[in-house]
Amino acid sequence: MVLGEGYRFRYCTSNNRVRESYPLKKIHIYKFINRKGTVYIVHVEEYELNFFAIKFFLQKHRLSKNRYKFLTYEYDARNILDTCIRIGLEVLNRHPNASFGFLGMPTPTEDKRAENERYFNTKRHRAYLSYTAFFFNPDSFTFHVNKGISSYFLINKQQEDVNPNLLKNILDMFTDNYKLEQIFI
Amino acid sequence: MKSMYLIMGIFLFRKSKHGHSKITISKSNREEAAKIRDGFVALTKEQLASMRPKNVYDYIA
Repeated sequence: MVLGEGYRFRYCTSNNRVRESYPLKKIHIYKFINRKGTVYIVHVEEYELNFFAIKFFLQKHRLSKNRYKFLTYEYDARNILDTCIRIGLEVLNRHPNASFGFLGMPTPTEDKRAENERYFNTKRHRAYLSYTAFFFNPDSFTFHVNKGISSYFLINKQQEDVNPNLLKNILDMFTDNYKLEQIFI
Repeated sequence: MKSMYLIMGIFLFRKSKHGHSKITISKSNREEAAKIRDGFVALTKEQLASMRPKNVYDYIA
């Protein structure tokens, strides 16, 4: 079994004028439409150290602060994830030294959990982690997981060979500049 | 004049909702930052292999 075709996506624009941007350099914006006509927006955030965070949400939720938390109940996760992985591959083709980061935001039910459990090992985190483990070779990337905040990083091994502190540098970059709740908003 | 301020207010509110604002972590958050950093664990090849069906999926990268 191979990666599915996903949906046809298009590159819309990149936003270079991110306010007070460091360490965020650009936001690359993609769009695609699923079989039910729902429009998805994918933000590929490009940070220093060749680090990319891929985020997606429904266009109709773009102004909501909870846009990463909603569930669509369209039961189309496989195609959506295939499309996002294909966008990630395009990024990797353009930036062969890229490393990636993901955060599985809590579902509306998980969001109602106690404050200290809200981000713990969310359903999305488990799904995204398995999915990337299917397709990304551990000889090319090292997987670093933090269940406590449902986050994981795929660190580019070639770059890690050049800079053994790459993961630490990336984590410092985020924790020095953002609060946790801001990183993936 | 009032409506101009209202429009400016909405614009600034919209801007503040989007985009990242750079906030240097304060002393009280350093503990949280250290906790986040220390919470990351590298998965071994065996752990990753156990998460994927054998010989079913092809690696793509």
